[in-house]
Amino acid sequence: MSGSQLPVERFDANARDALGDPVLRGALRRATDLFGERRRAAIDDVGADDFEALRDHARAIKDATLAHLDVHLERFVAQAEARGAKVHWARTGDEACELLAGLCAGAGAKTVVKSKSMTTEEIELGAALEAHGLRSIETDLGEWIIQQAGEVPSHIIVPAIHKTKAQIAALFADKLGTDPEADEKALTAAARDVLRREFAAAEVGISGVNFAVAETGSILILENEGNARFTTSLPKVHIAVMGIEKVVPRFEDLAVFLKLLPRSGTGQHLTSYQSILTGPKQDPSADGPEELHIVVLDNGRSRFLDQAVTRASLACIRCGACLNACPVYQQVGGHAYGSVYPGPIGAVITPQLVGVGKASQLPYASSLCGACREVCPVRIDIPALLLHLRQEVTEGHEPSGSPFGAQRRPAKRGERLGFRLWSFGVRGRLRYEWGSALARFGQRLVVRGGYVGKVGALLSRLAPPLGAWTGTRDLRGLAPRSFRARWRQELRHQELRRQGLTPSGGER
Amino acid sequence: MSRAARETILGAIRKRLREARLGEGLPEDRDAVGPAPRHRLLDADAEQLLTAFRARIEPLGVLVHEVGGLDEALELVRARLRDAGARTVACSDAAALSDLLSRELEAGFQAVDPGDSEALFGADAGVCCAQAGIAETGSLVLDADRERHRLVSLIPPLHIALLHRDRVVPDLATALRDALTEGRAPTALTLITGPSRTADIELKLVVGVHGPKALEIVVHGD
Repeated sequence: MSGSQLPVERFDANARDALGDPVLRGALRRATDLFGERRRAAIDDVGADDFEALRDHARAIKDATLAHLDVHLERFVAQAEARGAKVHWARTGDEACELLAGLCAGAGAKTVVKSKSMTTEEIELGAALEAHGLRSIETDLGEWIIQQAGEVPSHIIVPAIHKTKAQIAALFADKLGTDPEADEKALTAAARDVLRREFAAAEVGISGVNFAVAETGSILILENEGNARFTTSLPKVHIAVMGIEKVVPRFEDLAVFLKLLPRSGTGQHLTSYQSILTGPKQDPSADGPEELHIVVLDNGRSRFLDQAVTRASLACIRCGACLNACPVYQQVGGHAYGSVYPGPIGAVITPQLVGVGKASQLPYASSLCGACREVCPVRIDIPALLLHLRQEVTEGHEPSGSPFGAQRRPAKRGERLGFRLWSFGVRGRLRYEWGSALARFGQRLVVRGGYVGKVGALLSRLAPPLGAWTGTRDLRGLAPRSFRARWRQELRHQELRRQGLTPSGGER
Repeated sequence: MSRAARETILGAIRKRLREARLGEGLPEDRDAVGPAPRHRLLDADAEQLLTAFRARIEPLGVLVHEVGGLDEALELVRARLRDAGARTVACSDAAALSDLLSRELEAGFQAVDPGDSEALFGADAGVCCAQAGIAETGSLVLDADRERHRLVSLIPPLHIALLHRDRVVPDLATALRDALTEGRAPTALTLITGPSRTADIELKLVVGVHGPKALEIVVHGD
C-alpha cells in the first residue's frame, strides 16, 4: 500500500479534522446505519435465542483454543504440511514481509494479486513488495479503489466506505479514462476488466485467512466478490498469511463461525463464497496452485495471552460489527484512528500491538457506552479492555516484553490528585453526603437554571479540563436534593401510610 | 530464519500461557465445550429441505429449476444456454454431464476445455454439478477432488449447476462433516451462495464483480 496512515498518536487532532468533513460524515452515517439495520434483520432471521446460543458457543471454542494455542497451532501446521503446504513462521511484520518477498522472488513473480486481508495491511505488505520491485495489485474492489487513490482502508469490511461514488468516478476517469459520470455498475465493470487481466498474468496470489483448522490443516477464506477465489486458484503459487490466533480445533467448528461472521459484518446470512483450502493440488490435471505457502505471524499477538482480559482480544473474528455500532466511529471514521484496525476493536488491539505508549489516545476514543460489546459475535468485553488499557496508560504498566516501555505516558499530577480525592470522598457514606452537601452549597456560584452558567464559563477558563467538557456540552448542576434523601423520605411516607397517617409537610 | 521464528513464537505462547495458568487459570480444552446449538432443519424431510433451500437462494437473484430425471436436466441446461445466447460453453468433467455437449452440432455450442484458463476467460457459460446443497444457507457445495469445476464455476459470466435433489443436507455442520473422507478434507471445498457481488461503492449492490454475474441451479432426480 503506497498510502500512509494518519499518526496513531494524534487521535484527537485526526478526529477533529474528520468532524469537519461533512461528506465523510454523511457517508459514514449512511453506511453504519445500513449495516446496523441489516445486522438486526439477519439476527432475527436465525432467531435471537439461537443467535445468543451461537455466540456463547463460538466464544467457548475461541477461549478453549486460545488457552491451548500452542497445541492447536502445532497440530494445524503438522496437518497442513502433511497435505503438502509449506509453513513459514514470522515473529514480526518485517520478517513476514522479507519472507513473502523471498517466496515471490522464488516463484519468479513480477505481478502479485492480493485478496483483501487485514493481516497483510497490518504488516504493510503491499509497500514492501513494491520496494522489492514487484507489482502488488489489490483485487477486492474497495481495496483496489483506495490503492488507485493512494489511500489506506477506513473500515475492515468496506475499505472505501469513506469515498463517494462521485469521487470514485473521478478517480477512475483519471486512471482508466472511464466516463466521469459513470454509475456504480459501469465503475465495477471497468474494474472487472482490468483485474481479470491481472489475475490471468499474476504468478503469485496472496490471501489472508479467516479461519485455520487444526484437525485438517485447512484454511478458510470468506468473500463476496470472487477475487479471493481467483487469487487462490489461478496463479501457480498461493501464499496465505495468518495471525497465530486464527486457528480453530475442528473442521465442524467452521459452521459456527460461518453463521456469525457474515451476519455480524454485512448482515448477510452467508457471503457469496467460502473457499476451504487444504494443501496445493495433488493431481496435475486439477485446477489450483502447484504450491501453497502459509505464513504464520505473531507480530505481538502472543503477548496478549497471559491475562484473560487481553487474551479475549485474540478471539476477534474481524467482522466489523463494533465499528458500525460505535458512536465514535460513526462520527470520525476509520482514518482518525491512524491504525489498520479502527473502531472499538482497533482501539484495543492497536495499543497492544504497537505499545500503549505509542497509541495512548486510542483507549480514550470511546464513551464506554458498551454498544461494541453488545454486538460482538464472540462477546469480547471491549469496554473492560479499554479500561484495562487506560490503566496501563496512566500507571505505565506495559505488557512485559514490549519494546515500547519507555514511551509510556505517566498520569498527570492533577488528574491523579483529582481521582484520589474522588476516591476518598466516595468511599464513606458520611464523607459522600457531607461532600455532596458542600458541593451543592458551592455550586450556587456557577449554576443558573439547573445548568453550569455564565460564571461557570469563567470557571472553565480558569480550569481547562472542565472547559473541554462545557465547550461542546451543557453541564447540569447537582439536583437540589439527592436521590438518597428523596428515597429516605419516601420510605418514611410509606411507613406513615401503613400506620394510617397521611404524610404531610415535611421536607417537600 | 523460519525455524528459529517457529521456536520463538511457540516458546512465547507457552511462556504466556504458563503465566496465565499460574495466575487466573485457563479454560479447559476444546473437548470440554458442549455441542453446537442444533439447527431446526435437522428434523426436516427432503421436501422441506428443498423448500428451505429455495427460500434462501432465490431472493439473491438465483434461478432454481426443478425437473425430473438427469436427461430432462441436461435438456433444460441446453435450453437455458440457448436462451442466454451462450456460444462457447465450458463443462466440468462430471460423468453426469458427459452427454451435455456431445450433440455439439445439434446443440450449436462450442466446447471449452475446463482446464484451459485462457479459453475460460472467453467462455460464455460454465456448467458443473454440485456435490451437495445446504438448506440452511441455500449454498452449493463444490468438492474439487470429485470434479474439475473450480475454474468453470468462477470465470465464465454465467454459471449453471446441477444439484441432485437427494443431496440437499440440512445445515452447514452436516455439509462440512460430509465433505471429510476419513477425517481428510478435500483440496478445495467451495461454498457458493449466489452470484459474485459487491457493495464497495456507496454500499450499492452490484452483481458480477469478479466471478459469475448469474447463477442458475437445476435440481433433478435420477
